[in-house]
Order: sequence, then C-alpha cells, then structure tokens
Amino acid sequence: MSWSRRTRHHLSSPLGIVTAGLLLLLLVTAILAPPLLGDRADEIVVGSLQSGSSAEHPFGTDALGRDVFTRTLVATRMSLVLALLVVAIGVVAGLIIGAVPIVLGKRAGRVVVAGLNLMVAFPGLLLALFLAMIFGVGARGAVLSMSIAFAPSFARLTHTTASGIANADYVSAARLLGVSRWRILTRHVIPNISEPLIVNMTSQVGAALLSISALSYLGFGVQPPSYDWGRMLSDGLPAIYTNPAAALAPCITIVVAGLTFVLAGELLTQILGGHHHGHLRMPSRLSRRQGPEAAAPTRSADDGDEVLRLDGLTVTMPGETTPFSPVTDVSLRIRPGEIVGLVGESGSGKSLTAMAAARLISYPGLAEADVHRIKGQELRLMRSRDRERLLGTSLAMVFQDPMSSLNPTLKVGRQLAEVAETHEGLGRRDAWQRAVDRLSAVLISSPEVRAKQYPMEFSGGMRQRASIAMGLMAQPALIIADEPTTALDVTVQREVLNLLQRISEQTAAAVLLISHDIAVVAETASRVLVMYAGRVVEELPVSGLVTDAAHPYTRALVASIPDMSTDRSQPLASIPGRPPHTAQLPAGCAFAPRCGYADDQCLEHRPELVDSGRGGAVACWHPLLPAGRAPQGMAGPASVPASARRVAAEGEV
Amino acid sequence: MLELRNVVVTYGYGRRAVRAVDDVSLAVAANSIVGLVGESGSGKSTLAKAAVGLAPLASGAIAWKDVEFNPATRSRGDLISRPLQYVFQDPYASLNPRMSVGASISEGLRGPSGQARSGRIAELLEMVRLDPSDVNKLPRQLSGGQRQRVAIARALAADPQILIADEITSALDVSVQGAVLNLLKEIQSRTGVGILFISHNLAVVRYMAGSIAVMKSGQLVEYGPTEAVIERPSHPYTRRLLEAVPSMA
Repeated sequence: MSWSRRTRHHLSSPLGIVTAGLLLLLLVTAILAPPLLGDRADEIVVGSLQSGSSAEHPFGTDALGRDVFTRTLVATRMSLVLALLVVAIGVVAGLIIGAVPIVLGKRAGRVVVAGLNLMVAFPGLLLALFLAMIFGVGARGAVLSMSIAFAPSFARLTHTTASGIANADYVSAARLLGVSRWRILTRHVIPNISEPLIVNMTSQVGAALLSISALSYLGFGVQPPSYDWGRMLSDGLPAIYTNPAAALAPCITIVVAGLTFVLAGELLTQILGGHHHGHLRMPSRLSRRQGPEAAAPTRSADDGDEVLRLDGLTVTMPGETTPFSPVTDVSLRIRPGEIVGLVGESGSGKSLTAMAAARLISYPGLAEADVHRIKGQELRLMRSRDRERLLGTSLAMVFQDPMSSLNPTLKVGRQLAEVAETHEGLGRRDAWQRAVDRLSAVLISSPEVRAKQYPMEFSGGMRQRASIAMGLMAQPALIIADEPTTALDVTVQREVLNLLQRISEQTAAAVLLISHDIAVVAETASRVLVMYAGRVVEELPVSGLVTDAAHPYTRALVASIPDMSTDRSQPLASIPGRPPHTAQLPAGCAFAPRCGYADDQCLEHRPELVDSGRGGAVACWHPLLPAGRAPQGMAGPASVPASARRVAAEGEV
Repeated sequence: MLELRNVVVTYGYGRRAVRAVDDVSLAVAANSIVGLVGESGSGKSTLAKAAVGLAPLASGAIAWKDVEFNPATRSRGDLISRPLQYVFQDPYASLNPRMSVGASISEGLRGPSGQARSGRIAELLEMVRLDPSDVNKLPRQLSGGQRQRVAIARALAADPQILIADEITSALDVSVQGAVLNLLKEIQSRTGVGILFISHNLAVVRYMAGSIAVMKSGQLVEYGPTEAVIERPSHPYTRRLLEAVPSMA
C-alpha cells in the first residue's frame, strides 16, 4: 500500500478521526484564541471575583474577576508553543549528542556514550528544577532547562537506533565503497532512524507540556502577566474549595492536550510502520463451501487408513484491502509409515499448509477445509478438548529453529518429561525415564547425562534431534517437519533426515516433510507435492521427480538445482520472473507468466489438478511427457527446448 | 592479487577467547574464482570479512599487490579499499531501504558527474541485466534476485579487482539462484575480476570455482583445483562434505 493510501486508511480509523479532530481543535484554538479573545481574557470584572461557574462564566472567574474559560483558551498558544520549543531544542541537542559517537568512531564514541548514560540515569525533572534556578525564573529559563532535561533521552534513542543501523550490511557496503562517515550519517543513518524519532518526538510533546506546566505551577515558568495552563493552575488552586472549576479548566486542557499528542504518536507509528492492528477487513465466514463429495478428490475414494486427510484446505488472511488466500484448495493424504514431501518456493503456502494441518493457524488467519481427519477422526466435528487431546498425543511438530520448541531455561530431560506428564499423566520418574529413552532413540549419546543439560549446551543438530525426541514422547502417528534441516549444516542435515526416515520405519509414523530444497525431499520422501502460489500444481512419486514430472514448474525447479554432475561449461537453468503474490493472482495458471509452454488458454483459464496417469496428479494444460517427448496436445512452442528459452529470458529475474 | 597471510581472528577475551579463524592463508588472483566452502561457524565468512576490515585481525596480514595493510584502520579514499568489494548474503539487509537503486549504485562511483554518471549507472544496470528504467525504484519494489543484482552492480561501480561474494544466493529462491550465478560468472569472464566465492553448498562452489578451499573450525583443511578436491579429496572432512551433498538421482 502506498504511503498516502495508508495515511488515508489510518486517518479514517476511529483512532485517526479522534486524534485528527483533537489536533485540529488545539491548533485552531492556539491560532485564533489570542487575537479574538485576548482582550476579553484580560478584562477585570471587579464585581465578580472568584465567582463559581455560571452561564456567563462556565468555569467561574479568577482572583481578579477574569473569565477562566476564556483565559484557558487563550493560554493554549503559550502552553503549546513552550512544549513544542522544549521538544524541538531537546531533539536537536539529542540528535547531535546521539550521533556524535557514530561519527567519532569507537574509542571517542565510548566516552560520549558513558556521559550520556550518566545523564539518562539522572531524574529529568530534578535536573530541570536545578537548571531553572541557574537560568532564572521565566519562560525562557523553563524552556531551556526542560529541553536540557529532555535531551538525554532523545540522545539515547538516537544512539541506540543509530548503532543498529551503523552495523547494517548496507552501511558496511558504503564504507567499503569509501563513502565518508559524514555522508554515511546523513544518507544512511539519519533517514533510517527518523521514523522512531518522529514518533517518539510526537508523544514527548505531551510529556513536555506536562513538565512545562509543572514548572509554571511551581512558579519557575511563565510569570505574570503572561500565563499558561500551569500558571493558571497555580492561580486557581488556592481557591479550590470555593471555585474548583477555576483549577479544573487548565487541568482538563493539560490532560486532553497531553493525550492528543500521545494518540498522535500512536497514529504515526501505525502510519509509518504500516501496522495493521485489527482495523483491516477480516474475512467473514466464507461462503458455504462444497461438501466433501463435490470436492472431487483426485485419487480413488477413501481407503480409510490415512493418518492425515485434508480435503479442500483454504487459508485466508486479511489483506491490505481485501482478504486473500495464501493457500487454496489443497488436499493431502498421508498413510502410516509414509513420508510425503511438500516443496515450493518462499510464499508458495507450504508452511501455512503444514500449520493448518496441525490447526496452528491463529487469528487473524482463517483455515477451512472440507475434510480434516487425523487417524480417521474428523477434527471439525470434535469438541475442542477432545481435539486438543488428539492433536497433543498423535501429532508432533518439528520446526526449522529447534529453539522455538525448546525452553532455554529448562533442562532438556525435564521439558521432554513434561510432555508425558501433561498428556498421559505419567509420574515424574516414569516420565523422566521415557525422556532418556527417547533421547537415545534419536541417537543422542549418553542420554542420561544429556537429559540433565540445558538446550544451550547442545549443538544445533543435537537440539533438532532433541526437539524430534520431544515429539516422540507421545508416540505420534503424524510428524509434521517444517524445514527441519534448513538451519543445519549439510553433514548434520543428512543425520536428521536419516533419523526421520528411521522413526517412520520403526514406529509407522507418517511424516509430512516441508522443504524449499527439492533435493532434501527427493532423498527422504516417497511422494512429493509441489506447491506454487498457494496451490498444489503437481503430485508425484519421488522416483519420477527427475524424469516423469509433468508440470513445467516441477521440471524447471528440478533443473535449477546444481548438483555434483552439473556441466560447468553451461549456464545454470533458472526460471525467469518471480512467483506472483497470492493476493494478486493472475486469472489463468499462476505459473503461466514464467512458463515457456504457456499459451492463451493458460493465461485465461486455471487448470484443475487432475490425474496425470503417472501415479500422481498435475494442474497443467500442457503436461510434459516423460523425458523429452513433446507435450500432449501441443506442437509449436514445445519444439524449442525449455532450457534454451529459460536462459534467453533470464535477464528478467 | 589479494593475499590473506596467516590470518587469525579471535572473538572474546582471555581464556574464553574463541579462534574463529585460525592461521589461514589464502590467495585470490585476478581472473579467477576461488571457492570457499565450510559449514556455519567454520569461519569462512569471518575470514572474508577480515580481508576487508569488517572483522578485526588478531594477527596475520592482508596484502594487496604484495603490500601489507591493516584493513581495519585504513582511512577513506585509501587506494587499497576500493579494489576489494564485498557482496553480502542477504540482499534485503544490504541495500538501504530508503535509497533508490540509482542512488545506491551511485555511491560506488567516483569521478563522473551529471550525464556521464547516469550513463555509467545505466551501463552497470545493463551489465547485471536489470532494466535501466528501474533506476528510481526503491529496494522494496524489487524481488530478492533483483536486489542481489543491484548489490552486485553497486560493488562493480567501484571497479573492483577482487570481489568477495559471501553466500550471495542462500537468501534467494532456487529458481532464481541459477540466474544470479550465471550473471556472476559472466561478469567475471568479461571484466577479469577475481572472485572469492563463499558458499556452504559444495555443488554450487564446484560449479562456480576453479579452485576450492575447505574450512572447518576456523582452519583451512583442504585447498586445490576443483577437479582434484572433488575427485580426490585428501581430508576426511572434505570426503564427509562430499558424501552429504543431497542428490536428485
């Protein structure tokens, strides 16, 4: 979404409307009140000193009989101007102090940072009071002392955000190109820290307003005959028992103005950061979907013994303007002891499919399926407690980062034991025994010792094995492994894949293996589903991956992976263009714009997933024949080898 | 020729110090691609970063055309700095999100101004097979593969004699990996630049490099011409790496 659209979008939210309204009100009052009401505010009415609220004086009058309401309105300008000045001076000073360490380099910078830390630790208001004594009472002294008190926190924010940017790769690249420190600061660092600074600055105007009012209230700030809200508060407070309204009026304005700036800061965060809290159009329950009979499963009917059966899975997410489906109509069946691979590039929907299979899609996402059975039990018809028990005992998840399933503060054995204690009510000792047993099952040597260690004491591969062991605690019927080896080294990757295979053979657990690396899947799985732009485009036995794949995307994907026999004198195969975002899918086949075989039919009509006649299914109008023969029903474009055209069009990538 | 002479990089202090790179010597000559493989934590990236001053040298030296220098303390405009350029792993982090493609590339250029400058930028964009009309786009409008091309163009703008390519395709989808690798190979043969090509993927290194260096736990365990290393690996670790490469067949 473009910046202006996002701005309009957020401004039309309730928060946006309220904030904009309040800001406008403050601005108009600050500009118009002094010239229009200034005289009236200073008008002394001898007859009604410190009168209570009346029709003529809604907030009563002060000790000199002046109208409190009018004076409050007129004081808006003074109060706001002082607060803005404080923030402006504080920000400039803070930016300079905070950026100095970056320009100076390491050693001199450290001294500045140490001084900064000292200043941040010192209470701001105390510092301001102390400085106010030095600068002398009056608006100028108050502004100066408050801005000096505010500067350290801005400097700290500048420094923290700037040091993050200073370590970014693009700053390193600029340094290697010989770009000067000053230019790095102005071109790379400051533009990239401006967002948090602007947001913080806006909210700080509210705080500055409060602090300046406090100084005036204490008598250090604005001096009569000038007045701001703090001054009025200190004037009105002595008469609080006779006319509370006189003190209340400036109080209300201080609170409202302070709140306005805090809200404005929040609004800016949303506009600049592009956050979408709860305000976007959510998918309402989708239209009644077809029943399982109408969903036309691609293969023979129910054979009943599947561990996992998913039909017509669709995942919907709230989009920027309309909801979209990153996963559409995916069907999946896995039998006991079978390893099924799910491959696709980033954004293809493979991980979301895995999450949905484990019912881990949470708000604001929505996963719907016509059939979702685990061990023959339809999850959609179960009570949530039963469903959770079923998932807890029969499903194990293995993630890319094993630390996401291991608690770093608990001993590995304890964490594993907890699973058995919670789900099966095992005693502490039995659960521990089983944990040790499972650790040895995943080939961790001296499991008794390892069980007493913390995850941080394990290597990456061992942690992944421990997280698999955790999944094995409850004898799972289904293991969903989402990129389980992506974070691991090749030599360790092989061990973990072998382990998954061994477990599947020994315990008859079904495995859903998700990977972006088709070679990993080819080595481990028996059947592969290839996803593209949220749909399964081909399903085939692994044995046919290299020679039998019918979908041009599968072929191209296989061809684009260099292996140890790739011809080094030839250019590598690659696929031109890039996958479409699932929020903006083309009308026809999603792969058509990148496909060398695509014709008008492909661009206009989306092919359904149908039996490929090679033990799988394919969604393609022009499926390729095994090993080099011309595709069915196609003459022209297929005569040019796909690889040749791919190389020619490569520049587009 | 870029020479890394007995490079040692340590992290941490005193007894807990870890030798990330332990006495490694390696040379990259112009007109060649040297592959550097190893697993995560083997020190291959640290070694490369030390060569350009992005990691501190504990001992050893970097020599450029036989002149030793300390890359960490070189000042800007130093003649030694610009001939060595670095392309980072993650093109999502190596481009300033607020700078247009043209502005990023322009940072690498010295000398030409005005028309000549924009002409040179267009030339570089064409060299990395990007449309010169993309010059005003911001990184977020580009795909990962396109961003990596911009990063390569930026490095080429400095007219480097040695290019360090640090896992430049591991953040990209496999379907575009080939195109980026083809491009790098083509640029190498066209400009004669020397490339230190770092990857954890032995198949990719085999495809790209004329000679291969293997690192393990901070040490260089094997070095030789690609055919020799692949067909007759001498170190057991290299053999293990070779066996672990997944294959489609």
